[in-house]
This record gives sequence, C-alpha cells and structure tokens, in this order.
Amino acid sequence: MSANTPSLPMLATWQARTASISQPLRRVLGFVGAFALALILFSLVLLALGKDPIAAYQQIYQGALADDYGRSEVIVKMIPFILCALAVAIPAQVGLVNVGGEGQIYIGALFASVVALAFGDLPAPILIPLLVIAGMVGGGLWAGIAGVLKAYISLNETICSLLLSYIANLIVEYVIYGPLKDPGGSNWAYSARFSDNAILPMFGDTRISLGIVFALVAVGIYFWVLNYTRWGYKMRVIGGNAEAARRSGIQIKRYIIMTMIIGGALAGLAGMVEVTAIQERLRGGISNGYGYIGFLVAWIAQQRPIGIVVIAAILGIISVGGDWLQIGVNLPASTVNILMAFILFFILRNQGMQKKEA
Amino acid sequence: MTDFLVLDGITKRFGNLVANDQISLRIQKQHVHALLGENGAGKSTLMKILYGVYKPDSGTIMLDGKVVNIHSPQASRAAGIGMVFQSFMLIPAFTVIENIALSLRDVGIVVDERKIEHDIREISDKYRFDIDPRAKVWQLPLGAQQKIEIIKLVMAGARLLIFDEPTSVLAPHEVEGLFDIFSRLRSDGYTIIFISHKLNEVLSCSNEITVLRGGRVVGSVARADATESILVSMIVGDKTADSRTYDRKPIAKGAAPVLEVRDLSAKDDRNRQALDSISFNILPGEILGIAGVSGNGQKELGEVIQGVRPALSGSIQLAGQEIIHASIAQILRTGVNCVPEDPLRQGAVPVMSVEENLALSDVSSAKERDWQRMNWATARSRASWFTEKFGLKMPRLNVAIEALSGGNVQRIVFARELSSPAKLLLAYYPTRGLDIHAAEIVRLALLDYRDQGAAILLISEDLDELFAIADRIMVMYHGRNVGERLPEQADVQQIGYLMTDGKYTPEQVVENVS
Amino acid sequence: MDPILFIQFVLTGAFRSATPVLYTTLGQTVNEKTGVANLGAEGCMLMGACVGFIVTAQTGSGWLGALAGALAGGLLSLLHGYLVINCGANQLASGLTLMFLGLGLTALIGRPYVSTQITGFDVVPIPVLSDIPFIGPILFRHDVLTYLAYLLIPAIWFFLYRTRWGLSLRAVGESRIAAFSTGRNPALIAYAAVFFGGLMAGLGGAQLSLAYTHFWVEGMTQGAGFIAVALVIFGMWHPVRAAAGALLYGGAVSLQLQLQTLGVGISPFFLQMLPYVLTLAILLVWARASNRAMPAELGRVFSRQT
Repeated sequence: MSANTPSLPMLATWQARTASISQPLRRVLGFVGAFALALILFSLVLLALGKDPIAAYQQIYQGALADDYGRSEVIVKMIPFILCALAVAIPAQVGLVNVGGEGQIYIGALFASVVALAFGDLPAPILIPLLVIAGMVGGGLWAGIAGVLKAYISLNETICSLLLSYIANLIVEYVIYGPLKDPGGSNWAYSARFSDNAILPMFGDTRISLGIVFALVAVGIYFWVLNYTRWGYKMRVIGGNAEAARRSGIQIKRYIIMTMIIGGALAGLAGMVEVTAIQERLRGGISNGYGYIGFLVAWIAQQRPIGIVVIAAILGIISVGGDWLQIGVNLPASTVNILMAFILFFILRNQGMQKKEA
Repeated sequence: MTDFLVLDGITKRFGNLVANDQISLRIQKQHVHALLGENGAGKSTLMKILYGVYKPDSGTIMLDGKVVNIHSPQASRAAGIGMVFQSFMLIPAFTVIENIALSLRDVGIVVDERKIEHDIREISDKYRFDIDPRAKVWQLPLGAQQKIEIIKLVMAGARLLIFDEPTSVLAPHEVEGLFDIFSRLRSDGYTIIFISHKLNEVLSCSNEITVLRGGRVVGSVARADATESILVSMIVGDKTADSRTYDRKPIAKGAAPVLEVRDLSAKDDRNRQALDSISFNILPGEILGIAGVSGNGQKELGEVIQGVRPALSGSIQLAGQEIIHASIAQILRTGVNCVPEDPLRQGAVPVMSVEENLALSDVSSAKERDWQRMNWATARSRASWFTEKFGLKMPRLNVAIEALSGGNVQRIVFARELSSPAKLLLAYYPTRGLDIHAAEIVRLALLDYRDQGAAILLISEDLDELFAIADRIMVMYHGRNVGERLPEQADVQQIGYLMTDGKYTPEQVVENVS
Repeated sequence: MDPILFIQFVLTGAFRSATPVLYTTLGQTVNEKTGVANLGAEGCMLMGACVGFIVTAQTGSGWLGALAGALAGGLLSLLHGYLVINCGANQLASGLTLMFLGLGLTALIGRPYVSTQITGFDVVPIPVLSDIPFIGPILFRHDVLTYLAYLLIPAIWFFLYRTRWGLSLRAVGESRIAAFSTGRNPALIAYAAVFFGGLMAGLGGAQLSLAYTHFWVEGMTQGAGFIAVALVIFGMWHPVRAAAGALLYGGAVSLQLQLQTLGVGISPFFLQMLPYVLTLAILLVWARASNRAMPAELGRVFSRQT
C-alpha cells in the first residue's frame, strides 16, 4: 500500500476493530441477505393477495433480462438512477439530505427544453453541449436555493428541497400548458418536438444515449474526489462533525452550497437526458419518481460509488421488469415499489444490527 | 452512630478489567462521607452500582440494616438512594416545574402544576436555593440547576444523597454554599456521599473519608485523623507526591510579543458581555497561564483568538499581523494550534479512524491544493512521534475514534496539535480528567513546546499546575485582565482573591491574618 | 359573484379541504414531539384512503372504513417505528421506505376498486348552529370526520401540555436519557407516538376517500402527507399552530378552486403552487424561531441504550 492511501477503507468505521471477514465482502453478503429476504417477503405479499409470485418474477425477467431490448432498457433506466443517486450521495457526505431530486430533474429538463427549442437550428456538436450545460444549470440552481437557505439561515434542506420539488413540477405543468405548448399538437400538453440536432445520440438502435457516459463519468469523478482529494476528506469531516470541521478552518457554508449545487446539477442532467433522448420534447410526468428512487439507490448503496452503479442496475432491472407486469400478469407497475421498499427495509435493518454489534 | 449504608465485597468486572475489587465500606447515618480517588480508581463504577445502572458480580449492599437488591434505577430510587450527577438530567426546554414533575412518582394523570410549584418553593426557601419554579432550565446557571437536582431528590424521598464531583460546575463562592447545603441536609436527617478528587474540598466538608485506588479500598479515615499528606499518600500509593519545579529555557529578553491583545471585547452565547476590553501580551517561548473561575471569559477569549467567535471591538496581533477579522483558516495558517476544551466534540470526528483524525490539522494548510491527496504518511507519523518523544502510548491507527475512551481521544488531539510547530498554542484544560502519569507527560510536552519558541496560552483550573509550569499568571475576572503575577512572587491566596473578587486589597490581607 | 358569498365559499372549502392534512399534521406533531419524524406519512395516508375505501365498499359502513383506514396507517407506521427505534435507522430513509410501500401496496390492492361507488360520509349539518348567517355554513356544515378532527385539536393540546403522559412524551423528545433516568421507557413511548401518528394519517387518508371524495384512485393523496410534515415545522411543533397551518393550506386550495370556477385568468398551476410557496415563505421568515422550538432529540438516531 502506498504511503498516500489511507490504511482504512473509505467509509467503514466501527467494524475495523474486529473484522474477521473483510469489509467489502461483509457488505456484499449483507446486501445479498437483505435482497433475498425482500424477495421472500414480496412473494408472501403477492401470495396473500392471491397473485402468483413466480409468474411475476418470470415477467420481470422476461421484460428486463431475457432479450437485448430489455437489457438495453435497464441501462437506459440506470442513467437517471445513477445521476439521481449521486444527487443524494454528494450532499449526504456533508450531512445533508436532498430529497428534491424530482424537482431538480424537472427544472433541468425545463432549461434544456428552452435551449433546445430556442436554438434548435444550431449544429448538434454545439447544441448538445449547450443542452448539457442548460440541464446542469437548471438542476444546480434549483438545489442551490435549498443549499443557500440551509447555509445561511439553517433552513431544513429536506423540507425545502421537497417543497421546491412540488413547485418545480407545477412550473413545468404551467409551461407545457402555456408558453411552450405545442402549436400543432391539438390539446395534448407538451412542447413542440425538438429538432433532430437536439436529440442526444444513442448507441445502435437502443435507447441508450450518451447519458450513460455522463452517468459513469460522474460516478468516476465522485469516486476520485471522495477517496483521493482533500475535497473529499473535508466533506467527510463536515459530515462527521461539523463543529470540528469549522474549528479546523473548513468553510462549511461553501461546502453545503457546492454539494447541493453539484448534486442538483446531476439530477438536472438526468432531466436533460430524459427530454432529449427519451421524450424528445418537454411533457409532464417525465420523472417517474426517479428522484426518490435515486434516494433509495444512494441509501441502499450507503453512498458508495461502485455500490451506486450496482444497486442502480438491480433497481433498473426491477423497474423495467415492473413496467411489464401490467401487460404480462395484470399487476399495476407500481407494484414493484413494494419490492424496492422491502429491499431498503432490510438494508436499513442490517445497518442497525451492525451498529449493535459494535 | 449507626451504619446507614454497608457495602460488603462488591466486585464488578468488565471483561478483563476489574473496576471494583472486593469493596467493603461503612457509611454512617447523617454523615458527609467523601469518596476520594483518581480517575479510573473505580468511584464512578461503584456509584453506578449503587444507582442501579450496573449489577455487581458479587457482594451485598445493606441499607439501614436491610439487604437491598438494586437491579435498576427505579429500585435504587425506591430504596431511597438519590444521585446528583455531573451532567444534569434536566431538560433545558422545560420549566423547573415540568422537570420536577417528570421525576415525581405520584403525579396524577392531569398534572397539578400549582401544587408542585408550591412544594418547590417550600424546599427552595428551606435551604435558601432561591429558585423560580416557572423559569426554563436553559435560562438558569449551572449552580441553580444543581439545586434543582437536589430538590428532585428531596421530593422523591431520598435518604442517601450521592454527589458526583459536584463542584466541577461551581464557582468558588458557590462551593461554600454547597457545603452549607450539605450541613443543612445532614441536620435534616440525610446521609451524603461526596465523590471528589479535590483534597481541600474533601477536607473542608466531610466527616469521614474513604480512598479508592485501582478498584480497591485503600482505607477510611475520620476527618479528625486526616491530613493532606496522609490522603495524598493513600491516593497515589507508593509514588511520591512531590511538587517539582521544571527546568526551562529563559525567555528571550526584548523579543517582540507573539500575541498582542488590546482592548478586546466580545459577547458570549447568551449575548452577555464575555470579554471587557481585555489587554495582554505573550512573548515567544512563554507560557501565560490564565487563572480564573470557569465562566469569566476564558473560553470566549480563546474562541475570539481562534476566529471561532466574532469580536466586538479591539485588536489582536499575531506575530505582527492583525487577525481580528481573519477567517479561522487564515488564523490557523498564520500559526495557531489549539488543544480544545472538549476534544471529542470540538477537535475530532467520531466516525473517522485515529489516522484520519490525525490529519485534521492539515486541512487548512496553505501548501496543498484541494484536488490533491491528503498526506496520510505525515498524519500517521504524528502518533508515533509523540510516543517516541514522550513515552505516552497512543491507540491503534485504524480504530474509530468513537470506540475510544475520553482519555485516549484527548491524547490523539493533543499529539496532533503538538506535532507541528506554531507561533501560538491555545491549550484548554489539557490535563483535565487525565491520570497523574498522563497529566505529567502533558505538562512536559507543553514545556518542550514552549522551549522551541512557541507562545502558549494555558487555561487551567488547577492552580497548582499553573504555578508549576506557567511563566506568568494572568487572572481573568468578568472578562477583564485583573492582574498578572509571576509565580515565584505571587501566592495562591492573592490569586484566589483576584479570581473570586476581581481585586486584592490590603483590607483583605488584614482580614486574612486576623 | 357577490364577494361575501365568494369568501364564504372559500372559507367553507378551506375547512373541508384541510381535514386530511389536519389529521395527519396533528398526528405528526405528536410523533415529532417524541423525536421521530415520519416522512412516510404520505404512505400511511394512502393506506388509510385505500383500505378505508375497500372496507366501506365491502361492508357499506363508513365508520368501519374509517376505523380500518386508521388502523392500516397505524400498522404501516409501526414498520417505521421498528426501523428507527429498534434498528437505529436514519429517519428520513425509513420514512421514504414507507412512502414506497404505501404507493405500491395501495396501487395493488386498490386496483379492483378504482371505479367502485360508495356512500361514505355525507355532510351532516349541525342543527341550529349551521343556520347562523355566514359562519353557520362555514363551520357547521361538514362531514362527521371533519368535526372529529376539530375536536381533536384541543384534545391533543390538553394531552400534550396538561397530562402526565404528554409530559413523558415531550420529555422523550427533548432528552431520551433524562426520560430514561426517571424510569420511563423512551422506546415504548416513541413507538406509541409513531403509531398514533400513523393512525391519524390513516384517518386523514380515509376522510379523503370516504368523505371529501367518494372514490379511490392510485396515488390520490398527491403529496398531502409531505405537506402535513412541513406544517408541523410551520407550527413550530405546537398542535394548535400546526392546525392553523393546515387551515391555511386548505384555504389556499379552496381559493384556487373557487377562482377556477369563476374562470379567473390565473393559471391553475400558480394557484396550486400557492400552498407550497406559502409554506416555504413562512419557513423562511420563522427559521430562527423554529430552530429553538424544535424538540432536541428530533432526528437523532436511536442508540442501543434507549
């Protein structure tokens, strides 16, 4: 081990004393156990309601993993999941809880849509980067409001970002029924379709857009910052003991605002990807709870970079499979929310039991 | 005189550690019985057993002739045992009435606040507590809060009152008052156990003194037979309790002061005047000891110098630079290190490992850029450096700080702050809570730091310590500098008066003598 | 339209629209006063609305439905209690678990009942009082569950501030260790408070599907649970102030509806935004006072000792 890597894995703490099993292995085993319990409990719930769990699981497998299209759709879902998980994980390092991902997605989408519609004639190599910037500015701005209010008047960022979330949703509704309403679209509430220049390039004939590159690069940068920079260390000090951080000269307000802005910018980026790759226009309901699922992903993965990617994949499979439940076994798509809730339940329970061991 | 509390063969183990080893004691009725011993001697474990938090592994407890089985705090209370802790079990947001109501066992479903208020006033008048039942606890000073704790116990019908280091939160004149309360309680039939490590207090108020060391009872003496030296030898054992004078380098004459404070004023957390136009200097290679009762502005002084608290007016010059408006990071970079009053809460990150905590002082360094890596090698070396140089063992690097004892956290923070040179070191109560051996090493480390040319602002409640290692003692009273003395020329009496009264006048000398 | 009539309509609607949020915010005030925040109140409300609707549809009894809805909300909240109190989980993460669970479960079990019709609770005007000019229709022409909610406000206030149990509850929220040292069981008290909060949220949800409307639709609470949690802070953890906040929210919703029927040219979306913007504005103005009023243990992770 080189002299400049910490002798302790990044976030593991009390277990360092008596770990007979290595840290990462423990975590993986813990997750597998929680996942298994969640599957069992979910099956029991379905059985109790007279539904067939095996059929449901088969349907999920069919929809998400059996063919190329399904698998590509999982990756498509991973884009907003990863980005929104980072939107939660980054502020979480300094102890903030950002549940406003939904709103940050919407405002990012809004800003990107405005740019796409206003500058649709620009060539793609210029327009696309502009759209990326627009999306990030939108989301960053929206989260930044909560960050600034938290930093300067200690306004609880959870409540603030949540309220802003609802407001953002309504702003977008207003816009698509009003100023940006598609003139040629009869009474449907959406904006005009974006020009081809504004559509994010995709891989092959899947819907996997450049967004996956954005997401993975973002995770990579997150990993690097957290483990190999002083920024990451300072963030963790703030999250661990804000008073000690302050007395060490760390400018806490700055970090609060910056982490919220960066987190929001990533959620805004997810919004931009959604409107330029999937929807090709601005419409309501573009985020199907991605902000909250991002929260789930971040929490289940305990804000670890690699974990975020893995959990995003797993929840992506569940989510894509879930969309097929309606068609295959006549269950509402929302049913998979139950499974996701159970996974988080058992993970939280795990974390609690680990704490008690210490 | 009859025995009120008899402990016979009380033993308690925690893993390999024997905290209480066959402890047998007799406490007479209506006595103030002092329990004396260093930190780690087993006093607090014994008290927790009496209070029902721990169950002894073996041994019996007899209260007023009957064997009692204290299996929980409720059982302890039911037996008539009441404890006044060092940190009060009071709820700051509640009123005195609500706090008392919480502790009463016979409160009806609808709380009768008026009756409780009446009862509180009755007791308060009886013992001259002067407590307003309607006040919210956060508004009251610690001495008053302690009295609320006593009221709680009286109203709960306790007959044995145990006070755990009660004077640690009091001013000297309040200490007198507490001992008055002890004697009034005694004459009302209460029996009191008084836990302390302060010899002079124990000698002024107790009827009988028991000394604990290493989990065992060393012996019990009646007050009449006790002297300071007898007690000290019982506490310390075969170590000789000598007060040494330390070798030190002379202070360079004519050197420019490292720290110049002029007419500094500031407010405290409750918006009261904490610093009142205070002025003083510290030369390089000098230890300035700040004597003063806790709460006279020492805490705020350090905080303003560090940049943690804003100043209202005045100037602070550090090595010629004006730092009164500088940010905390800038001040740290200019060359200030700090050993905080509460290392765990103010200077360490509980969830991080020892190694990561050792790196905390690098955070404001000007040399590295934020996108670069932390220098773990340097951080790691701090602990081993301290162990090699001063012989004090440090905990393992990869342990999480929150798993360590308070004393160990103190060591790490201390080692970290003393491992890099600074122009000014702020040291708050650096030996508080440490055992004699560790405290001695801390003092030697401070002297060594001083000899390398640093100026040290030492805040300590141990006057003997200040006399031993400070080059100059400054007394703070109500946020002002009320006097500076050289330890060789001053005497403790003088300093005592300055601390409690803010002045030292010839009349007081006469009073003293006659 | 006659301005007085307009105001009357708005105020009447305010009282009606506020009820689901009022129930939930009263319940959440109680459990936050013990130190446990439940962001999953939304899930509990949904359970109350859905289960209440199903039971009423099956039994024809509104009361049984309301009871069932309340219990459903309460039982769901016990999961939150388990995670937070026994497992020492982060309260926000646990709350969102509830939200997802509520969303998914109610979508699943409520699916067959989406176009079912029921007779739930109708408006029951109070004789004599409801005939008082102007005030009468505003205050005394509502469904029974709404009346019950308003009776709960002083009851909860009295419970919290005048009884021994309320004292214990508030003590746990300020200092678990102090409560423990007086022989109380903070975990049990916290559980009871969380259950009560879930019960109230369930009842609020039931009122939504059984009285305010008479139908069930997936996700019909539309964030009311989150609003209720925000209103607890708005009310600075005092039940009467929180209730006032719920009323204010109801007023904004009602105002929006009335303006819409009048065809006033303000986009409905801005009016829908009003409650959220208003809450945010209040939080901004009262931020410092709120911090002082907050129960000291709120959000703090439960440790093994308690």
